[in-house]
Formats: sequence, C-alpha cells, structure tokens
Amino acid sequence: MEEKVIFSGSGGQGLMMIGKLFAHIMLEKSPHLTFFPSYGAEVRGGTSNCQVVLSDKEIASPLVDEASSLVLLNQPSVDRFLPALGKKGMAFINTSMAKAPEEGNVYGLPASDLALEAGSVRAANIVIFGAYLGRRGFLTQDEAREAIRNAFSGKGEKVIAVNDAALTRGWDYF
Amino acid sequence: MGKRVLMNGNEALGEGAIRGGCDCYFGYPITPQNELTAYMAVNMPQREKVFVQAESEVAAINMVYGGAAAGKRAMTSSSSPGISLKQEGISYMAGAQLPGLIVNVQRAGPGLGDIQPSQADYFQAVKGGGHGDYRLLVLAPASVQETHDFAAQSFDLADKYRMPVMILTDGRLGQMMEPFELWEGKIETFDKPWALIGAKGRSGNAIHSYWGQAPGLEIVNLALQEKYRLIEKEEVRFDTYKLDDAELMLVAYGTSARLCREAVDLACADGIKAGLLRPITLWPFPSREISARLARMKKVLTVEMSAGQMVEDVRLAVNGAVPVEFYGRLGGAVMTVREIYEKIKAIA
Repeated sequence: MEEKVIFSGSGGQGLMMIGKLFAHIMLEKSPHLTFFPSYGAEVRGGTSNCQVVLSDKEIASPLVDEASSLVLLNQPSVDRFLPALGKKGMAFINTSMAKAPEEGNVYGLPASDLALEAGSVRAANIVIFGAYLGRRGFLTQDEAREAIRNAFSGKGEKVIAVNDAALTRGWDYF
Repeated sequence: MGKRVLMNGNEALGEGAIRGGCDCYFGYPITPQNELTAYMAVNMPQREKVFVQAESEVAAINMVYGGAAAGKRAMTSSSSPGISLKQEGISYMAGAQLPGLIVNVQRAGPGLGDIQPSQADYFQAVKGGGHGDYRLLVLAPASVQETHDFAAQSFDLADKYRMPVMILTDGRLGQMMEPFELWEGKIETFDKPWALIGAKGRSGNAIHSYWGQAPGLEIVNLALQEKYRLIEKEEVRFDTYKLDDAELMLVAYGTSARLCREAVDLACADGIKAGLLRPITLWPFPSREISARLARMKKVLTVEMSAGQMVEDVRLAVNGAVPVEFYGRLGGAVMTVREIYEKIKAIA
C-alpha cells in the first residue's frame, strides 16, 4: 500500500479532522503511516493542511513531495498544492469554492453545495472525504459510514445523520 | 507487546513518561511542544499525579529541582528558547546530583527564531548549556515509538546515576503522528536515602550545589567526572543500517537519520556502498563505535539540521583517518531525502 495525500482548505473547514480520521481508520490497514499537520503561522483565508503517508515500508519523511492524492477545499489550496500532484495521482476539488482544471485526473465536485443539501455547509469536508474514499477504495462504503458514525458519536444523532448523508453524497458523486 | 495506538510524538512522550513513573510534571507553554504539556494537564491528574503550569520556564525547572530533591520522579519540557531559560536550573540539578527528565522539542534559533524543526541545540544539550563541568545523558529518538520508549526508560537512567536526563527531539518528531506500541516494561525502584522527606529519627539531609572553597568543590567535581566515565562505558546507544559492507558512513540522529536511511537505500540501488550509523545517545557519544568501523570506509558524511554541531564529535571520533563531509540545512529548513542522495553522489 502506497498513498501520499494532502488535505487542504481554509482554517475551520475541517481538514485536520478528516486527515486525523483517515489516519485512525488506516491504523490497522497500513503497516506504516504518518500524519503531519501544518503548524506554522497561516494567514486568515489562506491554507491549513495536513498530510498523510501510508506505506508498506518505513516512512522517512511525513511530508509529501509528490502527492498520489489531493483533497482541496478552497482556491488557495488548489493554487498551492495542485502542482505537487503526481502523474498518476488524483485531485479532488471543491468546485463550490475553487476552479477545477479540466484534466483527466482532476475530480471536481461542489462539496459545499452538496453539504448544504445534506443538512449543513460545515459537512463539506465529509462530502469531499466521501468522494476521495469512494474513488480510492481503501475501505468499503459500510466501513466508511461506520467510521463517520464513530467519529461523530458524541455529537448526537442529528449531526451523525447530516454527516452520514454528506459522506454518501460524496461517495456516490462519481 | 503493548497495544498499537496512534498519537503524535509529543503526546506519545507524555504517555511514556507517565508509564515510566513520572510523579510530577512542571511546564510552561511553547510551540512546538504544547501537545505534551496539554497531554500531561489532562492525564497526570487523572492518574493522581501532579501537573503544574508554572509561571515561567525558570520556575518550572526549579520545581523539578524541588520535586527531585523530595525523591520524586519529576520532569519538565519546552522548546529551544525555553530550554535556554532553564539552563541555570539544569546546572544546579547536575551540581546537586538530582535526577530528572528535561525534554527539548527543538525549534529553530538563534533567539526567538521560528517554530519549525531544527537540530541546532546539539551543542547546548551535549556540551553543557549551563555553567560548570557537567553532563546530561542525552537521548535522541528518531520515531514516535522511540520517543515514547525513551521517555518511559529515562527516569530509571536518571535515578540510577542521580543526574538529569534530556530527551532531544524536534518539531517534526513532536508534531508527527505515527503508530506505536504502548510501553509495558517494568520500572526499577531506587532507594533515595538522600531525599528530603522529613528527618524524624535521623539527622537531616541537605541537597545543594554549593561546596565552598577547594578542596570540597574539587572533590565533588572529581566524583561527577568518575560517574561520567562510568556512563561513557555503560550507556552508549546507537543503531546501524546497511553499514556492514559500506564504504561511505553516514552519521545522523533523529529526524535527519530517518531521511538518511532512505537516502542510503537510493544510493545502494545506484551501486554506491553507503550505510548509516545513528547515535541514539548523543552523550555519551558513540565515538568508539564510529572509529571501530572506519577500516573499510573511504569517507564519512554527517547530516544535521544545523550549521554543523555533531560533526565536531564525529571528527574527533574519526581523528583524521578519513575525510569527514557535512551536509546541513539551517533555520528551520529540513533537508529532503533527494538532497542527501545528491550529496552522497557528489562525494562518493
């Protein structure tokens, strides 16, 4: 298993949340993994990102130079990270807030609008996470739904239902 | 084997220290080590141990002095500028022969510098950042697992030798999450007849680092040096990778060593006979272990996130037998595997 993914958006869009969640989901599935957050000073409206590396071998650096996947929620994130996409990589872009170039390996979806339909614009991260998981095939849709249910278990049934719907909209989009 | 869990290096260090018998933690916030302080703030009281957010770094290290003097397993943590502030207290602990754990999650300097990772506090950690003829036992982890394990083991070392132990990590190792197995080793217990725990029925103890005029202070210093010679004999730790038939020896610790390991793989795939020696104890430094492996070596390459600090100890160990090259990045910049590989190709 080899995966180098960057999750990026503006602060508050929940990128760290899905990055950490992904790392925890993959704990039992990947022999080696690292999660690394951006912890430097970031400007308001700029990018907040985290990077997850999965590998069968020991991982030297938790930083991604050539990404196999990009999950990008806003335009500054696209501008900053799309050049780091490897030739065989896949980019998932929130077209509600950013332009997605028309290339074969770029998957644009209006994650914020789909999240609003699911019940809350705040679930845009889960919509695009669903699209990413659906295309990447690291886990089944049932496993993904269970992971989301567990992640929001302390927040009440309404929040779980919104995020479950958000995940499904993302998963089924492509 | 312990349960496999996922935490960042700072949290894993805190959990390791608790499992290693830490009785009291004293700290003051600074990035990039805050997750450690936060972890201890939640978990120490839950396990009926002491957590104090001190009013300053200076206060925190002197609380460690006090806790250790009372026979407790005490620790503090900070990042580079905060560690500078603690140096007086560290020197006093060394002089008073008090055990304790000090953690430096290194960031870039000098001065306020930046919060990005660095290895530029090597001199401070290894050569004595405070005044006087003293040493710290310095452990340099290269993974979250080692960060956790070394924290758990550090109090036994500190108590065994009655001296402060430092764990020297960096912002990348502290912030990075990586799976690791929880430490489930046994803690040693040490008699501490010197501790200040009340003197009912006996004459009182005194713990201090003031010994007046010679010869008293020289005798104390000679005793310290004797202890340090013993530690140099007993406690050197290091790791090697593909070194057995290497002709180029890389020497690196911590984050740099992780990167060197992959650069060695790239070099070997190119037919360059490279290997890595990774010091785990920075003091005592694995000098003999380096010099014993020089017979086949054509060159040595030291890689650090600094302008070249450990390389001085490598040069002392090599003692002119072969050329010692250096590659470093400064001020919070971290080299890539590719950069190290290009350096290897350029000198091989």
